[in-house]
Amino acid sequence: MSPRETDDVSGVETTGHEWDGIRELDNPLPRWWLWTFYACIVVAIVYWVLMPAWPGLHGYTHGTLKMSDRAQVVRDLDALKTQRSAEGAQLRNASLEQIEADPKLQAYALAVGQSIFGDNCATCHGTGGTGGKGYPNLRDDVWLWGGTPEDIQHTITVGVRSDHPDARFSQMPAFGKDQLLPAEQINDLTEYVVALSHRPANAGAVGRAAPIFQANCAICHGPEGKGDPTKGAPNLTDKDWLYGADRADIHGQIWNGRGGVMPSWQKRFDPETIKALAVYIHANAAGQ
Amino acid sequence: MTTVIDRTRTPEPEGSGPVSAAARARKKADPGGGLYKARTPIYPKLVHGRWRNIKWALLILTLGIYYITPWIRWDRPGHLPDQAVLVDFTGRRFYFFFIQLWPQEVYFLTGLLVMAALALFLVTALFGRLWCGYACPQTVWTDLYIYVERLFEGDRNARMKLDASPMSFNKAWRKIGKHAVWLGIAFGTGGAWIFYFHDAPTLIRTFWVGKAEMTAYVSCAVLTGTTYVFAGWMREQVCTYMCPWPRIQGAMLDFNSLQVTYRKDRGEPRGPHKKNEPWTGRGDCIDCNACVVACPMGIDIRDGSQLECINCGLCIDACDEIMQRVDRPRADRL
Repeated sequence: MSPRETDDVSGVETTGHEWDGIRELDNPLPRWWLWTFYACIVVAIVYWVLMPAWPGLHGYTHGTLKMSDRAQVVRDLDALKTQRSAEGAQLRNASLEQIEADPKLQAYALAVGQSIFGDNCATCHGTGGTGGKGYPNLRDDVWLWGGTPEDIQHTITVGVRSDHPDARFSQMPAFGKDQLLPAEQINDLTEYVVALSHRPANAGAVGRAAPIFQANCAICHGPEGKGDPTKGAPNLTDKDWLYGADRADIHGQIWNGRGGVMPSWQKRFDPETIKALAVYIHANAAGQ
Repeated sequence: MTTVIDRTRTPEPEGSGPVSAAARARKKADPGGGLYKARTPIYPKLVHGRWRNIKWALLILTLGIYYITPWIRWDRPGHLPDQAVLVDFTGRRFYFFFIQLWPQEVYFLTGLLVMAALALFLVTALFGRLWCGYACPQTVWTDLYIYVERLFEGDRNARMKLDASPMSFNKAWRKIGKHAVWLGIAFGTGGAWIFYFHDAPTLIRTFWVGKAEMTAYVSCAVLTGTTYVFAGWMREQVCTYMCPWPRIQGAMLDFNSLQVTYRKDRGEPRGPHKKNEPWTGRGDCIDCNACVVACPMGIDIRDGSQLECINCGLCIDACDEIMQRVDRPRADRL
């Protein structure tokens, strides 16, 4: 504290505070500032009365308006459900074919489906539904578990390798990791699978692998390697590869037998939402 | 030419030379002291000249940009809005002519603000408070409000007389008229603001029939209120007490900064001058107070660099007018 003194330049008294030789002038506050200050106090008191404000030992003061964002969200969601109930009932009662045949209902289903897809499915399948390595592309005409609206609806409901009792389930054995086949046979099989998709491959290896394929792989993928949607076995003769198309990817898949998990959405969505989602995905996919 | 204010020197005793700021401050201060000070009304006198003309031109330009921009159309494909500048909160897009920004691109906005701040620092370091004096909305709208005030109440002397006179019909209609036009301008300001957030031709219809969104009415009301209060009632108080810029300003200036100042070397010693008296042995300042009465911030520029000064240059115009009359050179002819 330095003594209060009058500043020579401005003619104003100092406050007596000093920081590293800098002293503060004790200028009067503008009076409107004082009124603003009083107004803020009044507003604060009004706020305490109307709104939740003070914490206590057992909760807090709720205010006379009983404002609560949490309760508001519940009310908003209820209002939304009521607002959608008419269309929701229509969705629930209509079959997937009926929905797709009725332009108005279809438009509603597409809108619901798009928003649900963006929030829940896009994380893995991408915002455009084009998937990625390990995540199926939903825009093409290749479907591991069938691409009809009913198949899609069922897949969404039960999931793939999920905890649902009726989940879609398939298991590619890990031929290398679990030592089901010797390494050189897996190398030969790799060449065989490459040849299946009409690409140039080592003829000797392909010849050696043919009986191995028939003995180990054909049971799911079929004798010609065309796959089976009822078992979730991918077609090996097309150009679509969930875990990659080159030799290293194919070899890795035979060796490790990867299989992804898609959750069952039955508990999270009501049936009409799943229907809408199936319609949306089906409408945006090619074929089937 | 730079004037260095020598603060180590003891101030001259009062009455001996020019009246010091300290003396005037003491004179102006409430005799009983006190913690709070009511606003001293300022009656800026209209001046004519180069800086005033630049200010008028910039006022028209900046207000023109503000009011016209939402009405510019810009063709976009599909169902996209055709408003050139539109902040679409519901659609979560910002449209600016050929640019379309999404919410995740808000860093462009951050970058723009950072660049604007740095540009402000640079311009201020080089040319002084150009922003404050010419482009700041507070200055522009205050200027417009003072213009309206002069239309109703006349210039400085007439206004002072009017304020001092008892209530009469003449006083009442002038005051009411002034505040009505002020409120009209304020409403126009708030009204133009909301056009940036909705399709302007649609909103101008829905607004009047009560079908616009609540946010439109609230924003319009808030901006009407702030414009009216800030440009009509608070004016220089906003710059001096609410704006942080004048306080930062002190750190931006050096001896090479361009600044509106009084040239002590030319003006001092100041004093009244009679016609045909010689100019030798005295300064050019005839202490006519033209610079003081023209100042919209209510300061005396002759006291040196002050945080209240917005560098608008109106004191230069005022001084030039007088200097021409007494046959001394204008500021730019030296």
